[in-house]
Formats: sequence, C-alpha cells, structure tokens
Amino acid sequence: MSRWIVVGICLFMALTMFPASARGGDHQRLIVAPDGPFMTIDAALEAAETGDVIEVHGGVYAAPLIIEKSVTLTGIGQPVIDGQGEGSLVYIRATDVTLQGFDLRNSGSVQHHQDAGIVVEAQQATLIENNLTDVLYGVLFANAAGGVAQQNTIRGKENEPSLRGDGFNIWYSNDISLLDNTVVYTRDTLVSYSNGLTIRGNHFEDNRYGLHFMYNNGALVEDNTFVNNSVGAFLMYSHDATIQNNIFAYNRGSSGYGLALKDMDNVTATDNFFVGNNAGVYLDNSPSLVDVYNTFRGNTFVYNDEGVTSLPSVSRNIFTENSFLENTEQVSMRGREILSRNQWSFEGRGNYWSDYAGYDRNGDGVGETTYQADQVFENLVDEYPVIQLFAYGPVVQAIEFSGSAFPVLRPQPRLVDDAPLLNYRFPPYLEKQSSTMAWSTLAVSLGLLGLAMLPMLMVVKRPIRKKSASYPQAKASRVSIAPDRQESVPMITADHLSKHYGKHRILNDVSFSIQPGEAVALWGTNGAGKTTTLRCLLGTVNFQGQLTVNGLDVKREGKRVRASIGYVPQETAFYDMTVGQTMQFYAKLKKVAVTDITPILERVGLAAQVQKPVHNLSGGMKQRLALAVSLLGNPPLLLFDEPTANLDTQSRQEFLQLVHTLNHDGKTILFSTHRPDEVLSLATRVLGLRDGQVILDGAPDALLQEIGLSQWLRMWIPPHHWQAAIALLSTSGFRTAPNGHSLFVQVGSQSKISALRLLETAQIPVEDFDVVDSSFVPEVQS
Amino acid sequence: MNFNAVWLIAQKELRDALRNRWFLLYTVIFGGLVLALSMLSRPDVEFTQLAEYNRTVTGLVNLVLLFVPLMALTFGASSISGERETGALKYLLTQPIDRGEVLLGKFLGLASAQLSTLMLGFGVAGVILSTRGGGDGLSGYVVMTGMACLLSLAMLSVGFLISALAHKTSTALGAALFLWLLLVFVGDLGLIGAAIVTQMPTQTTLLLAMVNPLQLFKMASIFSTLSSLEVLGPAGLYASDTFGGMFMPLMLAGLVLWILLPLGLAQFAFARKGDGG
Repeated sequence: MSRWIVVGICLFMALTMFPASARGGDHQRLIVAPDGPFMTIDAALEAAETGDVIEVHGGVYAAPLIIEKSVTLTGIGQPVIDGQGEGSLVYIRATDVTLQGFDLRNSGSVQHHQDAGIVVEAQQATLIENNLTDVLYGVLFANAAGGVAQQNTIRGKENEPSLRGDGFNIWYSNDISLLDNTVVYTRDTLVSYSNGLTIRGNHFEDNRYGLHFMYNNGALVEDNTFVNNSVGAFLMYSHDATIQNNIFAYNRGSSGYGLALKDMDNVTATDNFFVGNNAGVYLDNSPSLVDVYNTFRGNTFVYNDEGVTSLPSVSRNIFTENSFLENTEQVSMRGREILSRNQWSFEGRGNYWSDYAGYDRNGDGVGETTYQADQVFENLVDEYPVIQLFAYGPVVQAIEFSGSAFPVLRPQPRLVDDAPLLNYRFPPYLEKQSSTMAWSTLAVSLGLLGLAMLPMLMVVKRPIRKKSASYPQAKASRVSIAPDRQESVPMITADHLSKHYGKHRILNDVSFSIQPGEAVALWGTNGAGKTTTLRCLLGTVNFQGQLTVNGLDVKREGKRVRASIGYVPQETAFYDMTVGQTMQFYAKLKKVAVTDITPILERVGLAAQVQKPVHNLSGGMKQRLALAVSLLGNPPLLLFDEPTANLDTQSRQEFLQLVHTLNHDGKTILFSTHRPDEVLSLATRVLGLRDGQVILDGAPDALLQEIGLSQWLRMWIPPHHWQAAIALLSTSGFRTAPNGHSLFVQVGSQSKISALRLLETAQIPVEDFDVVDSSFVPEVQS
Repeated sequence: MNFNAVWLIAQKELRDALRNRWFLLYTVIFGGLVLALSMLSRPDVEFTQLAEYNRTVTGLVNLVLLFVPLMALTFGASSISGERETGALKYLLTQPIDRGEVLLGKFLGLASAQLSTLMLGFGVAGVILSTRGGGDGLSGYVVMTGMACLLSLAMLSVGFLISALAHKTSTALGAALFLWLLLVFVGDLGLIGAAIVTQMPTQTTLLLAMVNPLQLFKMASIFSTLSSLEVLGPAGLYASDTFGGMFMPLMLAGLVLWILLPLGLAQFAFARKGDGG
C-alpha cells in the first residue's frame, strides 16, 4: 500500500513540475495563455525541450521573443507580440523552429539595427501564417538556409519607400522558400547570395522593389503577383533563373519595370503577364556570358508604355510566342542601337504584334511577311528621350505617316520578326474579370450628358404664334408712334463733324442742326458723305467734332443714342429667322415689350407675314421689316439710308407714304437720298452734301435751283395732238420727250401748271398727267 | 454691360450653331469617334481594366487634341467675319448694344455649343467606361473633361481674335486652319526638330512646348489620369519635379490665360475696327 502511495506522490510531483505540458509521443505540448498555465512565452520556452510544441493563446506578449530551442510555437487565436516600437520582435536562433499564427506588430525603426518582425539566424526555420504589421523589416534570413516562409503577411511602416525596411531580407541563405506570402508597404524583398530559392505564389504590392535579387543562382520565381511597386522584380548577377506564370502589373516608379534583368544568364521567362508597367521587361547586359541565351516564351505584354526595353549591346535573348498588345512602344531601345542581335523568332515561331498587319496564307497562324519595328517617332525617342514629351499627340501620327509616305525617312528596323504570329494569347491562369459597374462614373457621365442637353433647353422657345396671338390684348394702349418731343433741344446737332479713312476725307467740317419733327433729306451724289453722316450719328464709326442726338453725346453715350434712333439701311441683312422672331429679337434687344410688336407689324403691313422666314420676303417687305424694327421702342428720330434704292416703283411709293405718315405723327426724319423726287415728296428741308461738305441747307425747291434740275410731267395726250403739243411746248421753251404712248415735259418745281395751261389754251386735251423723275424719261428731244 | 443683350446674342448664336450643319457634322464625328474609341477593348481579364481605361482616356486626349481645336478655331473664326460679310453685324451694331456685348454674347453662345459637343462626347465615353468599371479614374476623368472644355474655350477665343482681325470669312477660315496646323502639327514638329538639332536642354524644350495650349491640356490630362508625367519622358519628369504641387494650377492658369488674352485682344481689335462692322 505504501508503495502505491510513493508512486502517487511521484506522479503528483511530476505533474506539478510540468504544469502545462501534455505528453504526446516523445514531445510535450506547453500552453501559454494570459491566465496560465504559462503566463509568458519565455517561461514556456524555458521549460521546453527540442521538438516540443508551445501553444500560445490569444493575448499580448512582450517582445523580444528569443527562440533558442528547436520548438514549434503555434498561435491560437492570433496572439500578439508587440514590440512597442523598440527593436526586433522575434529572434530564431535554433534550427528547425516553427513559428505559426502570430500577430507581430510595432517593431523599432532603427535602420542600422535592422529592427524586424522576425530575425532568423538558424537553418530550417518555418514561418507560417504570421501577420506582421508596422514593422521596419519583415523577416530577416541571415545564414539561415532551408527556411520556409509561407502564407505570412508583412505590412511595413508607412514611411517614404527609401526609409522603409525590406519585407524579406535573405542573406547567404540557400534553399529558402517564400510561398504564398503577401508583402506590402516595404522597401524591397531583398535576396542576395542565396542559391536554390523558391519564390512562389507571393503577392508584392506597393513596395519599392517587389523583388530585389542578386547573386542567387538556380532560383525559381513563379506564380507571384507584383503590383504597383516601383519595380516589380529586379534580378541581377545570377544565372539559371526560371521565371514563370508571374503577373507584373502597374509597376510604375521612376524606372517602373515589371521585370528587370541585369547580368542575368540562362534565364527562362515563360507565361508571365506584363500589364500597365512603364516597361514590361528591361534588359541590361543579360545574358552577360557570350555562350548563354535567355529565353522569353509565351509571355504577354499588354498596355505597357514599353513592352520590352533594352540597353544597347544586349544580345542573345530569344523571344518566341510572346504576345505584344497595344504597348505604346512594343519594343524600345535606350540609346543608339538596334535589337537585331536578339532572336525574335525560334523554330519558325515569332511573336504576336498588335501593330502587325499581316497575312496568313496557309493558315498556320504565322504571317507570311515579316514584322519590322521601324517606327520613326519611337526611334527618335530612343535616341533623343526628351522628345517623348510630344507623345500622346497627333504629331506622333504625323511623323509615322511621313515615315510611311516617304520610306527614306524610316529608320533601320530595331527588330525583325520573320515569323510573326497572327493570334495573341493571354496566360490561362488569368481569371476572367466580370465587369463591375462604376456607378459614380455613370452618374457623372449622365450628368455630362445632361449638361450637353442644357443648351438645347436654353434655345427652346414657345411658338411665335401664341405670343403673336397675345399681342393685341396686351398693353396695346402703350403703343404710340409719337415721340417724346423735346422742343427746346435740337434733335440733332453736328458741330464741325469730320471723318476720314486714312488720307481720304469723307466729311469735312460739317455743321448742322435738325429740330424735332423735321423731315430732312441728306442729298448728294454717291460718295458725298451721306451714309457716313448717318453712321456717325449712330456712333458706329469714329469721327472728329461734336455730335449730339436728342441732347446725348454720340461719342460718350452711343448706346443711349442708338436707343433713341430707329435706323433703316439701304440694304438690310437680317438673321435667319422668321418675321416674328426677328421682331422679338430686336424688341428684346431694345427692351421693348413683345406686345408692341403686332401693332407695329400691322402698321407697316407685315402682320400677315409673322411666320414667314425673312429670307422669303421681297425687297419691299424686308424694308418694311427694317422700318418695323426701327419703330420698336418708339424712337423720336428715324434715320433712313437710301431706303428705296432697291425697291420697285410701287414699293417705293408705299414706303415713302409710310415714312411721310410717321413724320406727320411727329417723328423726326433724316434720310439720305440722291433722288430729287424723294426730296421733294418727303422732305421739309434738304441738306446737300458734296465732297464731304454741306453745300446746301434749305427748302427742297432750293435743291432744284441749286443743282439746276427740274421735274418732268408725264402727260397722256391723244396721239394725233402730239405734233402740235410738242411744237407748242418747244416753242415756249419746254423740253419734251415722247415715249410712244405718253409725252414727258420738263418743268420747274414752281411752274408745273404753266405747261398744262399752255396746252389748255391751245385746246390740246390732256387726259391725265403724273410727276415723275428723270429716270422715267426717254431720250430727250429739245 | 447689358447682360440681357449678352444673353440674347448668346441664345441667338447657340441657336444658329445648333442649326449649323457643320456643327452637327463635327458633333456626330466626334461622338462617333469617342464611341468607337470607348468600345474598343481586349478580353476582360484581371488586371487589364485599369490599363484599358487609361488607354481609352489617353486615346481621348489624342482625339481632343486633333478635333477640338479644329472645331473651335473654325467656328470662332467665322463668328464675326461671317456676319460682317453678310451685313448682319453692321445692322446689329446700329442697335442699342455695345461691341463688347456683341462679342461676349457671341463667345458665350458658341462656347455653349462647343461645350455641349464635348459634354456629349465625354458623357457617352463615360457611360461606356462606367460599364467596364472605370470608377477609380473618375476624378482624373472629370479633370480631363474640364481641361478639354478650357482648351475648347481657348481655341474659340483664338478663333474670335482671327475673326475680329479678318475682313473676310475665307481669310479668317484660312488663318484658322493654318493656326490649327501650326498648333497641332507644325509647332510640335518644329520644336522636335529644334530639340534634336540644337540638343535643346530638357527645361527649354518643356517651356517652349508649354507655350502651346494643346500641350498644356495634354500634360494636365495625362497627369490627372495617370497621376504622373513619366510617360512623357525626361521632360515630363522635369515638369513633375520642378512644379510639384503647382503643376496642375499652372496648367489651369495657362489655359485660362489662353482664353482671356485672345478674347481681350479680339475685343480690342473689334472695337478698333470702327467700320460699322
């Protein structure tokens, strides 16, 4: 019995001495948790022996953790080791250590100490599923061959890239495997002097160099993704590297290479995907050995600025079955060289070039003509990089066109692919991307389309007819043709008015004054200065002297002056509108109510034409429209510039009658004309101009006396009295001119009746007569 | 300044533009090219969307550089000279309106029409791009659209200057086409030639290129789309390094200057004409 008691005591003591161990085979399992049995990892490590498993349960544990026994540390519930910004977090100094499932955070930031998440200083370490955040360096393998890092996540400190540490830093450590890790926000993953590397399935994003690699032979780099790094992978001074099935995307730093090879020999790059990099592949002295070739097969280069770029003298690279799609430059050369020392096809298989326009006669997928990279602009850029500034502009196409049109301008081809492929190929491992709708872009775009429609709404108008229909009812009483008389102020005062074009003087010291209500004719021959006087009044030309209209200075208050003037030019050019739209346009311009339009149109006889396009109006109607426009706003002064010059007789008569009525209603009228009959029929006063000077200012008859002109009577006399009438009138000093059915007799303005009385006395019957101007008169008979 | 009169003239110009066959032709061609450009795409696989988007947008830059100056210059050039030739302008100026109001109204009217075309084009392109997930580049796209509008206004302004100086529409159109060739092709070709022959320093090349408003638009658009100017080589890098955060404001100011200066000169020339039209 006592023997059993002794065994029981020994068993108790054993259990007490190893509180958290659980024996499994030859190794024990130690439990670390905030509430024990082991409170710290260090305590568990102290108790552990080679091959033991330490389970660390969730909680925060102090750093640094120094592992000097070959144990397995497994995190349960993602325990945290927090460095609180000091030093490195975990040191592995024994072989065959496994560290799994830890959350390592907040290392120190001292570069020359290489403060890191994990420092591996022994061989065969295995790091699995650890999450490293806010660490200067991620994992250091130094003289630590055979290490494996799998499914870890490393997120560096968010410093400037050059001030960060490396994600992985591998130094003199052969046969390291980096598998399925994620490395973001670090400087580089730097690997040096380490042979037999396997770098597979990792994701490198937002680092300086996704992979920075030197003196590592026999490396396998596959299935990795290098995204948004300054450089995807830069491999240097190594040989026998296999690079396959990697994605190099949007590596666009200052150099911005997807994959760069410097002094790399016997490299095989297969089925990689290069998209959106500054340069997909950059070649510098690779291969460096004279008897070695590098092979690029089945890679896809798409949307890179440069698909492949190379320094001069690079040779012995074989490119076969690659696809070059829509790279700004498919292949470029940094300097004055050509790429022909590389092979652009192998065993009858070249590459696909999206800018190749070839023909496959036998259906073998290979073009019958060669592909030549001989773009002029690209060649110029290779030689003079500064002119890259002009890329993305039409000038590039112009230069290329000139190269096509004038082959002499074409450079020596940088490369010739004598078996270009007709079909491109995307690597099969790429996943299909189902397009996702960008709702924000859609909303903005629809907004832009809405803005594009806005101008349409700006010009949409209600139908003219509706407005026209409302004219008579609305404010018709406001319409008054009578001007605001200002009897005390002259309507027009010209004081020493002069105007010249260069040396040609049009108006020379002209002075006159026109009172309200006058109808004044500006008479003169062509070039006398009539139109220029009117333009001066309107303020549309510069002039010397003083000019006032309705008391307003034309020079200083041109716009107000024009508001008090209605102007009808000799020939009116209207916009392409209807009569109603034209009236509305000018009514708005003059700030006149549109309700005033209809009465005015009725007055000038255009009310029925309101919907008619102006260009369909006759000349007379256009002049009436101009008159209607001039009446908008009820201006006190109307200016007419030879308004009847282009009208037929009837239209002229009607127009003059309208003007006469307006004068009768109180408008001041100033009109230019070279027709004495218009002067006589319309004017109460005439201003005669010759060579820019006023030669006459007086009553209309004074004009006739001044210029020695008279009027003509057209008489209808029975033909058998013609001889007698002509003889009688001629004898009495009248000039006559028959035209076959009527007789023209020249008379003075004050002596029209004397010719009629003479014929009446001689009992020669006059059936009818008319007063006409000389333009109607046939050749004169004395 | 009577803004009612300005608005009235602007409306009239806009209405005329929208009825103008050449304007409609420009719009249809621009819209068609934008549509075609936006719809060109390679198979949708992962990682290609952004690159395709960028490629489409830089294609749009190229299209705008070619098309917008041609449209704006020719319409601007015929704006005043055309009505001067028909006599409509002379008649308009006899009304209570200032030359400045006429010029501004015409400019605003034609500008509305031009911008309408641009919005249509960019709107259509944006709708298509949005179906392919172009959300990340939205701000760049908006900036580029804005810059294209400014370029359009700048070219319209230059067209107005030509129009104010020319007596005949044919002369104005000839000058506009010459200027288009100069800005789009000849100027850059000359500068490329000079840069090569004289071994021109990068900064000199950049500064001379920046005299051209088309280059301002291009650089600003590429910067806003790609967030860098590296694609423009050493001169692009020099521009980024030299101007830093001031780069975009500088481009903006340059284009605004290209709007205001020619328009001011056009007003000066138009006012000095003093020939009734």
